[in-house]
Amino acid sequence: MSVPDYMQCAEDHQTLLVVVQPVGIVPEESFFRIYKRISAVSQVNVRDSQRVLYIRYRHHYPPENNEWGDFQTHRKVVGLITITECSSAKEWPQTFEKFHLQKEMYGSTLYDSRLFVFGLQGEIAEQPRTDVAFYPSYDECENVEKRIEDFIESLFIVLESKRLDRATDKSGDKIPLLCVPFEKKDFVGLDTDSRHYKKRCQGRMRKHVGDLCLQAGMLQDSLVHYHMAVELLRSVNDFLWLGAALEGLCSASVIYHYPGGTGGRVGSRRAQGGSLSAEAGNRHRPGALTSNGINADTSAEIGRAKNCLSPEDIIEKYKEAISYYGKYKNAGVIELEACVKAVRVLAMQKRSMEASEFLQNAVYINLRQLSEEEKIQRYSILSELYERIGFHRKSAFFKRIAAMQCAAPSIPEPGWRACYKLLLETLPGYSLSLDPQDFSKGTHRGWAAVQMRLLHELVYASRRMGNPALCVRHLSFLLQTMLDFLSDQEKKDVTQSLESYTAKCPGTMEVITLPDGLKLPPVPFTKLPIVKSVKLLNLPASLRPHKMKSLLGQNVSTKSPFIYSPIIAHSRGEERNKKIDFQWVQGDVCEVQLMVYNPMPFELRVENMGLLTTGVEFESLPAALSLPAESGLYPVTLVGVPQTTGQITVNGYHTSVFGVFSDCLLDNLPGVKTNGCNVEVIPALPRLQISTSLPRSAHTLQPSSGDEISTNVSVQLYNGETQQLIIKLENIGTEPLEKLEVTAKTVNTKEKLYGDFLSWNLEDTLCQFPLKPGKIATFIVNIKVKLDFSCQENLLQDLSDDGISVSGLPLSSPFRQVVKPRVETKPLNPQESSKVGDFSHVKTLEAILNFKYSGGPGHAEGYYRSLALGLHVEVEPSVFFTRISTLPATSTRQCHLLLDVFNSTEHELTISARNNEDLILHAGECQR
Amino acid sequence: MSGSFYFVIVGHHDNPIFEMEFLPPGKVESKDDHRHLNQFIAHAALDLVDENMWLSNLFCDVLFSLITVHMRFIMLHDVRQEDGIKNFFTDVYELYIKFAMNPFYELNTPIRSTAFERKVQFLGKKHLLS
Repeated sequence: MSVPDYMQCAEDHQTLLVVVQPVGIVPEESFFRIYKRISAVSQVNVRDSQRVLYIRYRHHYPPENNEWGDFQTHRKVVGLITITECSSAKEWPQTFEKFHLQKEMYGSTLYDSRLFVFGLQGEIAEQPRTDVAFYPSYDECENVEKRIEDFIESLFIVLESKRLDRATDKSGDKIPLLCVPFEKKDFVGLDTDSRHYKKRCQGRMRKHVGDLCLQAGMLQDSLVHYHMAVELLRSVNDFLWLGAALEGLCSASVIYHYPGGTGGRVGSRRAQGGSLSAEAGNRHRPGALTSNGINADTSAEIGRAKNCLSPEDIIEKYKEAISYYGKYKNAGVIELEACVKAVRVLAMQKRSMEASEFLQNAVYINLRQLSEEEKIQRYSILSELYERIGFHRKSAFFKRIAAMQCAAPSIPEPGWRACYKLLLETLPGYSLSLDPQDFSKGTHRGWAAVQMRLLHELVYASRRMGNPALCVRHLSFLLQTMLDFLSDQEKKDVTQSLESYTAKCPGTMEVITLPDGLKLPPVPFTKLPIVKSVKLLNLPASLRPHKMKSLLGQNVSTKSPFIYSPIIAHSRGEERNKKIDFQWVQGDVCEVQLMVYNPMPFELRVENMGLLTTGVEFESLPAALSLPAESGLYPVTLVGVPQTTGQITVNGYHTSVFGVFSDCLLDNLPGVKTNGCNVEVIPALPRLQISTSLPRSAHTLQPSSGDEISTNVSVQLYNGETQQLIIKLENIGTEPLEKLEVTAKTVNTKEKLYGDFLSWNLEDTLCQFPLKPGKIATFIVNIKVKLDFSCQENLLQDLSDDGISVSGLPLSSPFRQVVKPRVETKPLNPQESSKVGDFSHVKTLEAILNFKYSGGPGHAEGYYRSLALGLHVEVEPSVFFTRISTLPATSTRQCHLLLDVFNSTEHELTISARNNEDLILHAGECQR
Repeated sequence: MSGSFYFVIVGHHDNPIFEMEFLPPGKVESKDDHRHLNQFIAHAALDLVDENMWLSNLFCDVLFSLITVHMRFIMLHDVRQEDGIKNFFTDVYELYIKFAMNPFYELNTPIRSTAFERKVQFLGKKHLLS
C-alpha cells in the first residue's frame, strides 16, 4: 500500500467502496457525465430497515490498496461498475470479455459488479440480465440512478450476510487469521494452535466485524465489536491491528458525534456528492438512531453512552493508534491517513494546537520516494489542513512549497500555470492582497522581505507562463507597494526588468481577470513620482473673468441671518478642501501645479503626464518631465483646456513611467495637500490684446485694487503738453468682442492735477464693434498733463542767487492763462524762480486704464474680463515764471502784470498770450 | 550548517522589526537564499507562537509579558540548546523593554540602533555560540 488518500476522513470508514471505470473507448466527457450521475447516489436507505448505506465512488483505485481491504474494510473495493460503449452486436462478446478482465482485477474482494453498455441496440440488448444494463445513448439513460440503487442493495445483501456470518461466534470453528500484505510471510510456520495465536485471530476478526457493522449502518454494534477487539488485541500486543481497532472506534465515535461529517469535502470531484451526503446524513441519522431500538441494531441504547468515545477520548485514541502504526514502516500510509483524519476531527473541535501536533507528525512520516506530483499533492493537502485549523501562515508556507515543487528543476515540463495558481493562493497567508489600495492606508502589514520574495516569484511564474501583461502587473505592484523596502540596487533591478517587460507589453490601467475569475486591479504608480501637493492655478489677471454685479446679495441670501454661526463655520471648514473662489474659462488654457519628488536613486522619466478630470470635457495637454535622482520638491505644471462649461473636478493625474500607464486619483493619495479640486468653468470670453503707440515701460505700477497690470507704457511730456495715445485693441480670442468699457484711475494723487489728465472718445471705437476674432480696433486717448510745479518753491528759492524778491504776492496757485496748445507750443503756468540745470524736478503721473470687455457666451452669462494698461507719464517742467510784479498802468483800473518767464526746456518755445504777440524763448533763456 | 541561529522580533502586523543571524565562528555569511528560507519558516511559525501564547505555560513569564505588547521573539536553530535560547530570550526581552521605553522609539517600527544590535550580538555570543 503506497498511495495515500489525503482526502480521507473519519466517516469514510462507514462507506462501501465502488469503483467506476470505463472499458474500451469511452469519451472522457461522457464517462464523467455518467460518473457524476452515479456518484450522486452516495447514500441509500436500505429497503426494509432504517439503516443507511454510504457509498464512496472512485474512478481510479490502485489494486495494491485493495489488498489492505481486510485490514480496514472501507479500503476494499466491493463494487465495480463498468461503463462501455458498444456500437454493434459483433463487438459485444469482446466487450463482455473486457468487463470480465476488469472484474478480475479486483476479483477477490468484489461483492457484485455491473456493466453499463451504451450504444448497443437490438437482440442482445433485449435480453434481461441483472449484471448488464443497456442504454441506447448517453442521453437516454433515465434509470441509471435506479439501477445503482438496486446494485447497492445487492451489495448490502452480501455485506449483511458476511456480517452475520462473521458476527455469530461459532466457537467451534477455527477463525482464519486476517492479515495485511506485508505480514503474510511473518506468520509462516507459526503455531496456529497456541492461545496467543487464537486470541490474535479472534481480535482481528472482531475488528473486522466491527468494520462490517459500521459499513452496514450499525454504529452501536460496531462500537461494541471494536471495544472487544481492542481488549483482545491489546492482550496479545498485536499493535498494528490494535491501532486499526482503535481507529475504528474513533471513526465510529466521530460519526456519532459529528453527523455533519468532518471532511468538509474538498476534492472537487466529490464535492457534490459529499455535500449531499452530509446534508442527507443530518436528516436521516437522528431517525436512524432513535429507531435503532426497535430495529435490527440490537445493542441500541444500552451501550451508547458507554461505548461511544467522548470527543477528548477520540483524540487520545487517535494518538494511541498513530503511535502503534508508527511502529511499522510499511504502514506509513495508514499512519499518514490516520493523522489526516484526526486533524479533520480536531479542526471540527477547534483544537488547533493538538491538530498542529498531528500535522507536524504527518509531515515527518516518510513514505517511499514520492513522485513530484505526489509531493505537490501532499504539500497542498498539508496546506489545506493547516488552513482548516486556522494556521494561515503555516498553510501559506506549505502551499508555497507545493507551488515551488510544481516548477522544480527536476520536472521535465514545469507546470508554471499550476505554480502560479498555487502562489496566488498563498497571498492571503502572507497578508498580501493584490489591490494596491490596501497598502495606502496605515502601516505596512506583513513581512516585507517575504512578501517581496513572493511577488518576485509571481512575476517569474507569470513570465514563464507566457503572460507578459500579468508579469508587468505584478512587477508594478511590487514596485509600488514595496518601494519603502527595496534597497537602491533592488529598485534599479526591478525598474530595469519592468522596462524590459513593458517594451513588449505596456502596463495598462485595465483590470486583469484571470481564468479562474480572480481580478487583478490596476496598479497606478502613485509613488513614482510622489505628489505632495496639487494646486489649481487661477488664470492670469488679464484673463480672469469677473462677474458683473447684478443680483446683489446672491451670497448673502444663502447665509444665515446670524452674523456668526458655528454651524456655518464648521461646514465651511469641510468645504475648504473643495471650494475654489475663482473660475476657469472655457477654451482657455488652465493650469494645475503639482509639487512632486522622485524617490528613486536615479533619474525618473515621467512621460505623458496629464490631468484627469470629470464634469467638463477637458482637453489635457500632457507633459513629459525628467526628475533628477532623489529630487527635492519639484514643481510641475499640468495644463489643459476645458471644452465645455460647468463644474470641473480635478480627480487626479495620469502618468506613464517605465512604460506603465497609471491613473492616480487624488482620493487615493495619502498626504496630498490641495487647495481644492472643484472649479467652475464659465462660458468662453473673448481675449483682448493691447498694443500702443508708446514704448513699453519698465515701471510696474502697484495698483491699489489688487489688479495686475498687463502692459505698461511710458511717455515723457513737458508740463502742459498733450499727446495722443493710440491703443490698438486686438481680439486674439475666438469669441467676438461685443462690449467695452474704459475707466481710468490716476494712481499717485499727491500731485495736483488740473484738467482732464486722460480723455477719450469711446464712441469712435465702439462703432467698430462687435470685434470679430483677429480684428483690430483702435482707441485713442489724449494725455494732457498740467501740473503744479510750484511746490518746488522752497527749493528753487534757496537756489536762486539773483536776490530779486518777488514784488507781488507770491502766487503759489497756478495761473491758467496761457494754454493754447499748438503743435509745437508749450505754454505754461506755474511760477517761481529756478536755476538752469535743476531739471531733475521731474514729476510723474501714473494712471491705469481699465478695459472691461466681454462678448460671446460669457457675456450672456454676465462675465467680463478686464485688462489694465498702466500709463506712466514723466512730466518735466516747461516754463517758469520766475518773478511776478505789477506796474501801475495808465488807467487806475488796470495794471501791467510783469512776468519773468523762464524756459527750462532744451527747446525753443513760443509763448502766446491772449492779445499779445508771440514771444520766442530759447532753451534756457529767461526773458521779461 | 550546524550551530547557527536566526533570531527575529516580529511586530503586531507580522512585520519583522529586528533580525539577526548568529553563525558559528569560521562560517561566512549565509547565502541569500538561505536567509529567505529562514524568513519563510519564521513567518510560518508565527501561527504556532500565537496559538501557544494562550495555551502554553512554557516560558510563561516571557510570553506573558510579550502579550502585552504583542511582540514575538522567534529563534530558528538547528541544534538543541534549550537553556541557552531561554537565557538569550530572557536577556533580549529585557533589552527590548528598555529599548521600547525610549520615547523616541515608536513601537512596532524596525529597530535601527547599533547599540541594540551590538548588545544582541553580544548576548548571542554569550548564550548561543559559546
